[in-house]
Amino acid sequence: MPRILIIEDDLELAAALTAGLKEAGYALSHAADGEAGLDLAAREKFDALIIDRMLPKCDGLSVISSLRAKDNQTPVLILSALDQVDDRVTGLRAGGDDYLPKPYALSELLARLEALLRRKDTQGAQTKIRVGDLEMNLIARTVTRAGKEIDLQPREFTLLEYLLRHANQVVTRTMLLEGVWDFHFDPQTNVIDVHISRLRQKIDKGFPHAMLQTVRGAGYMIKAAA
Amino acid sequence: MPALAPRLFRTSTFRLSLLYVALFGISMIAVLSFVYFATVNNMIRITDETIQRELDDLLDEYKHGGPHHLQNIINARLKEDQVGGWVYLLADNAYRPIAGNVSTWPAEATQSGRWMRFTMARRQEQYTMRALSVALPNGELLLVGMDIRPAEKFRVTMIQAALWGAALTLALGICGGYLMSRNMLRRLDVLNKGAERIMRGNLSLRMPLVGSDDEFDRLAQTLNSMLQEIERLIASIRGVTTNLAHDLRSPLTRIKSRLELALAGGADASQLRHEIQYTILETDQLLVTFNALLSIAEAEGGAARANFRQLNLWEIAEDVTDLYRPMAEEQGLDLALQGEGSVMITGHRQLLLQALLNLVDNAVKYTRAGKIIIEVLQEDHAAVLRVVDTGPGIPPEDRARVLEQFVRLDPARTQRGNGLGLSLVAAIARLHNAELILEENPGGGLVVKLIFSKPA
Repeated sequence: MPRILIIEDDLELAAALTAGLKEAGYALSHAADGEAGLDLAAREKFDALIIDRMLPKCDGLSVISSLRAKDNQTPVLILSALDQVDDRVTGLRAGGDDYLPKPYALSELLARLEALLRRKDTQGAQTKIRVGDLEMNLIARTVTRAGKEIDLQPREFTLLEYLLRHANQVVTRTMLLEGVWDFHFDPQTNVIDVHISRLRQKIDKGFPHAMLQTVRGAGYMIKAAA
Repeated sequence: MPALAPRLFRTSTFRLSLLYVALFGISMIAVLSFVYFATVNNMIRITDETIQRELDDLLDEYKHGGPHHLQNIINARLKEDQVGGWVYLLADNAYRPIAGNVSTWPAEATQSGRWMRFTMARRQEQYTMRALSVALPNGELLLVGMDIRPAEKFRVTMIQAALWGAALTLALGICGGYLMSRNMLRRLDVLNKGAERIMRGNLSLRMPLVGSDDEFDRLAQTLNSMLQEIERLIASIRGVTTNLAHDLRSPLTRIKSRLELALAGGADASQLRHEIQYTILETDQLLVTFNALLSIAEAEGGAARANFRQLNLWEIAEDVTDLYRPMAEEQGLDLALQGEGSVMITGHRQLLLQALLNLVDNAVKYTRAGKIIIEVLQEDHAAVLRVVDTGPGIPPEDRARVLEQFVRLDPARTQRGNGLGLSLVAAIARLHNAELILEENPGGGLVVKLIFSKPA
């Protein structure tokens, strides 16, 4: 059971978040201010930290910088009410691994947390990614499913690569906009859905099992046959 | 007007007039001093030369005619009644007078060949004399002098004139400074009072104009234009607040009534679930509205300028085209990117992406059939980004209004949206000092132009 530390001064929000994450199968600890959070994060081992940007005693970015200075590389998801592009940049620059503006959907937070926890294994100089019978060659930039070559546009390739690197995880629309298009704002359109359905046409059509699935109210997931 | 005088003395006008008076006074004193010393010295020199000449004459008489002759000459001069201001005295070696119109040898004239100055009483008057004495070869002493009272009088007059002049200059300067400052203060007081009245809450008041078109009138005019702009901004903020309240009230009312119904009725679990999902969708829409307002505030705040970078407008257009092309095709629209491949500007990548995305999103949303063109052009001194569609367009009278917040032209609200998309584009354009122009597409439809002028 992955251990998560929430450093958040809004107790009601922290309680809701704790309940939601427990439901999703995480073990939770909570600290209500920056100092207590830093203390706890340094003393115990966590798999990921969820840190609010504005905290009493020691603000979120300072907590992250202090941890990174002590060579603590635990993945950090920053929560912030400052939903601005430039705040996101400063947050990530301070050592945060992902940034989620408040208000957020729990599904979005779960998807990003999952991505953070799995990041370690998927990163590195891979040349091939394989999920089920779908194989992506990152050098030759080719994709085959069950040995049959699939012709993809460059952007479709990047989109599929992102999905494959997050295989078996929920990937939200905003994660795709950030990871594939580098758009760091929520455009409030269903424009991503069209890209997904086109990709689905190419990789799933004519195969008995649909790998690219829609997760209702959350996003998409690519999965090998059950 | 309480305690006007002390305030007057603190005004810069008054201080300037004082400074002017001081400078003028100093230069006047310098000129007068020069004139004074030049004139007085000259007069003394002329007097001295006259006395010297007279003494030389008498010495000549002495040389030619001897002591007795000199005595006669002196007596003759005295008798002639043309003696005027002259004094003559011939004395023996013990300073006892022999001839002349002075009864005693002056105490000051002890040394021969030296100029002296003394006063003496003559004809009931006090004379001021300048004189020169010499010892004659026979031991007798000769003194010749002249009344220098006219010169003295002139000297005194000069000094008096200088003093009076200085006093008058000072008085006029202070009075003039006082009057000028008072006039200045009065004009300023009018402006101050006007500003105070406006500060007390009546923003529709304006500064009074005198009509003289002087600097005060121009200041008042500038202030009035400023007030106009402030009033306009406040009115627009008021409008936004009202619209915001109005736009939020409807969804909130819907949420509330549906939740109340769900709570009151005997809804089963699946119905309740449906209601909750509906509520979440509605609140999401509210949050979208707030986030859009925050983005507009960010673009309007100008702090984002700190993250301006050199960007290729073409790449921005490429990214947005790439994102929207499948969706446009899905709707049977042709989305094309045209223009030049490298048009550099300085700007905020994410905000520019968002601005163009909003424009393209609108175009895709409202165009039923036809073509959408994104165009990147390098003109003489400007980079131009154009989005051309073949949709219904916007009537000319509504083109300014659609840039305002919460304005939606579609009364039926058939399309999703919160009336903030174009406001955000306008705010991002302002942040980049870019001009946002809405035009009619000659072939039907709308052309939105963003013109990024190169800084001169």
